[in-house]
Amino acid sequence: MPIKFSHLNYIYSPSTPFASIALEDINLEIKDHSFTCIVGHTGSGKSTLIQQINALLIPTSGQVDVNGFIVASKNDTKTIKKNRRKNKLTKEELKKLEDIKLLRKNVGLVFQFPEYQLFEETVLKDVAFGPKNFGYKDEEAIELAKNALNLVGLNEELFEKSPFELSGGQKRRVAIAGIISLKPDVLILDEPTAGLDPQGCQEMMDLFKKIHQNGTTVIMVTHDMDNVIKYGSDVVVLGKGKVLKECQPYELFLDENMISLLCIEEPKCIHFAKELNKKGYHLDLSKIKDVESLADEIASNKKEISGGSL
Amino acid sequence: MDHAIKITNLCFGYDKKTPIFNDLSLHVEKGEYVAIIGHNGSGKSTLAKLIIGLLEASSGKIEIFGKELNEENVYELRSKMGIVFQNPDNQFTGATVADDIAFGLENKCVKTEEMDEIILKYATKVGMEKFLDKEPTALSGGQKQRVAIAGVLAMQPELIIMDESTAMLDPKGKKEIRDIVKSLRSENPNLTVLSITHDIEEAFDSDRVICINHGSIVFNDTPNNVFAHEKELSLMNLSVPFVFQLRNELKRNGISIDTIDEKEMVNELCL
Repeated sequence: MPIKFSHLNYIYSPSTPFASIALEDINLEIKDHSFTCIVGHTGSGKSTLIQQINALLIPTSGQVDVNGFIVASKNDTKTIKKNRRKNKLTKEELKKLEDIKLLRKNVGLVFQFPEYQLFEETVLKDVAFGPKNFGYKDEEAIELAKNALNLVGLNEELFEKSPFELSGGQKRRVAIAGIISLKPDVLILDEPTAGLDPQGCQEMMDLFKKIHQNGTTVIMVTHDMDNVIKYGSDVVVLGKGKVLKECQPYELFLDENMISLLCIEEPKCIHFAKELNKKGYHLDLSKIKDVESLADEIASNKKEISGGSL
Repeated sequence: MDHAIKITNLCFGYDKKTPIFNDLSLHVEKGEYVAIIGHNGSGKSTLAKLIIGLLEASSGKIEIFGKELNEENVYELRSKMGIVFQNPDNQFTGATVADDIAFGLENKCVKTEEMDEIILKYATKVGMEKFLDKEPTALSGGQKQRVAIAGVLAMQPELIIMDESTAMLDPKGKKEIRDIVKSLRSENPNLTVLSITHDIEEAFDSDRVICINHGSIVFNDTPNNVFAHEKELSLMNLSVPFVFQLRNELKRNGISIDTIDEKEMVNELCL
């Protein structure tokens, strides 16, 4: 389900001296089944933006349409409903318009350092908490929890342990299992690899890749450009509450202005490819995701060059 | 050459049943930049704690600048060492950048009049001189770690230990810290740096790489020689720097490259 932001504004503490505009006139479509990365400086509005998608924050004005569910202010929702009635929506469709519980089941949001939210006596109970909360019977909830824990690759021996006895990486897996146990259509991740060692990062990203390949739309806030280029299908750049750029990952690194504005470090493979292109290579940057694809691209380019000169 | 750190036959375990180190010996020379790499639980951080005397060895000897570390001289020896830890948020003690750099100086009872100059000097060294009155919330992780380094430098240590100082930073922050270490070493060739790290690119900058697995030394050689062992390293969940990875991948494609310098590699590919 595509997610459409239209003319969305969000102001923290409106009508007070502390009012601050966090998001300004956001118009954006996040494609169905995409792996969309959201990048931008601290304070650019990334976290505020993703919290609108499952209605943790309600837009001050404007709206987000998540597959028929409209997140908008109370007044706006009324008008939207009125207009829709004219368009003769079925009762079901009207109900869906405001079914926040269904929305939150379909859109899973993983906060930064989600392991801080663990609380139950055992790993299995912690993961089953979400499904139970959404009305599943105990046995069903346990079943969903087990499936989710298998998906995140947590060993069955650990199911009955206290989540607090686990390592940092394992804790994070448990917290993420709690979200994906409900099989959301959209998974939102706020800096999911922060604070993990390279091995842990890699495993975590492979997990999201797997979830994405199973058909889930993944939206990820990140500072790590290596992950953007390797896993992302689309990028949204935010700056001071506005959308500065929407593009494919490699296009971001062709935009010198954006690189200096964001103060980002180019992924090494892209940097190397650009250096070669300066010296006469014609590498297709859109095909370069990591070292392996870089080497493949160099090899096929070299063949073309030598083939051409023959 | 003089040793900055010399460890001889070190044994240590948090409990008796599971020894972390069993007869470990290594040394770091004065002015040398040594990187210690190893996966989680290999004993890297434990080693740092033993060197600064936060943990006590069950047997063996640790010498710092020629003096054996013991209960009596631990404070004297610590004054020669500075350590930068992993988490940028856990080591920011001041309300502002200037306060934070001043923390160590205050403990050392440096006069207030002299302090401003010292703070400015070391803030400039890490490129944070424009942030002196900024609060930690206004800083990125990389900037906070730079402040931590400035605080350590203000104490004029002869040995800097970096315990996973870049682990929680994004690639940009990691590079900032690596560049600072490089510039510090070129300014002061006598400065000894011991970096305990996961960051393979950072280890690539060092003079010597020591790879630890299950508490023993597996490799102890120049970065070039250590990273030539890609297979062995990957079995220990360690990767190799970008240029080594690329060289291996190119080889798979039938292109052989001799150099491990990124610029030379570009040139070689353009021949």
